[in-house]
Amino acid sequence: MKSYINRILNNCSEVSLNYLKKDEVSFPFKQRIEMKIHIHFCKCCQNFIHQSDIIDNQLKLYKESLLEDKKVKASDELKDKLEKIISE
Amino acid sequence: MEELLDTKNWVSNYADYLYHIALFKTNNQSEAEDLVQNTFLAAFKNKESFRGNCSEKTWLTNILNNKIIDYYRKKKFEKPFSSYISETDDEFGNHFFDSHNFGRWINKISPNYISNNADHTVISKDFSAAMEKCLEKMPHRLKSIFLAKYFDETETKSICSQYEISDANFWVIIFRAKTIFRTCLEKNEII
Repeated sequence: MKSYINRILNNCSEVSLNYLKKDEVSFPFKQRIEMKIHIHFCKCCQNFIHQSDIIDNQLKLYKESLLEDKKVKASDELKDKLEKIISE
Repeated sequence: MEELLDTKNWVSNYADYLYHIALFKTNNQSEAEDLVQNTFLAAFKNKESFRGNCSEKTWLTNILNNKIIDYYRKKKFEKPFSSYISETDDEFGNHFFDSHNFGRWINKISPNYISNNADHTVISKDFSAAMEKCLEKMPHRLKSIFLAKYFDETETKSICSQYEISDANFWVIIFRAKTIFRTCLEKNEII
C-alpha cells in the first residue's frame, strides 16, 4: 500500500508531462484518477500546470500582437530585393 | 487566379510581418531575411496555385512556415531526436527533478509574480521581452517544435511527420521545452 501511495504521489515528471498531453491523449480511467490525486497533493505540479496554462495563453496573445507590432521592420535593402522579385 | 492576389502590395502589406515572424523563430537577422526572400520567390512562382481558400496573408505565412521547417531540418543536427533525448535524459532529469526526494520537482515554488492576477487579457511588455529572450536561449531542436505546437498551433500529427519524430518523443520534447522555458521566465521573475 505504502509503495502504491508513493508511486501515485511521486514522479512529478510523468504527471507534468501527461498533463501536457491530456487534451490529445486519452488515458485509462485508473491513470486519470492517479494523476488527479497526485496533482491535488503536489504544489509543485499545481504550479507547473498553472504556469503552463499562462504560457499557452501568452504565446497566443503574443502571436496576435505581432499583427499590430510595428517596431520590427524589414530593412529597406530587403524590401528592395522583395520588390524586384515581384516585379520580374 | 492571379487576380485573387494583390502582388503589387505584398511588400508594403506583408514584408514587416513575415520578417518579424522569421526573426522571432530564428533569432538570426540574415537567415530571417533569406527566409522571407525565399517565401516571396516561392509564392510569386506559384501564384497560380492560390485558390483563394484562405487569405493572402495566411497563404504567405504558411509558405514561410514551411520554409522555416526546412530551415530547421537542414540544420545538421549531429544526432537524431531519439538519440538526443536518450543521451540528455539524465542531465535533464537531474537538473529539474530530485532523485533523492522521490522524483519531485527540484525548483522552489515560484512566487507567481503575475499568476494571481493573470487572465486572458494580460500581456505585459515585460512578458513579451522576457519571452523573446527565453526563446532565444532555448536549444534549436526544442524551439522549432515548441513554436510549431504553441505558436503556430499546428496539429501534433503534422509536426511529428514534418520533423520525422515519434509521438512519444514529440511529447518529451514539448515537456522539456516548456520546462526550460518556464524556468527561464521564473528566473526573470515573470511567472
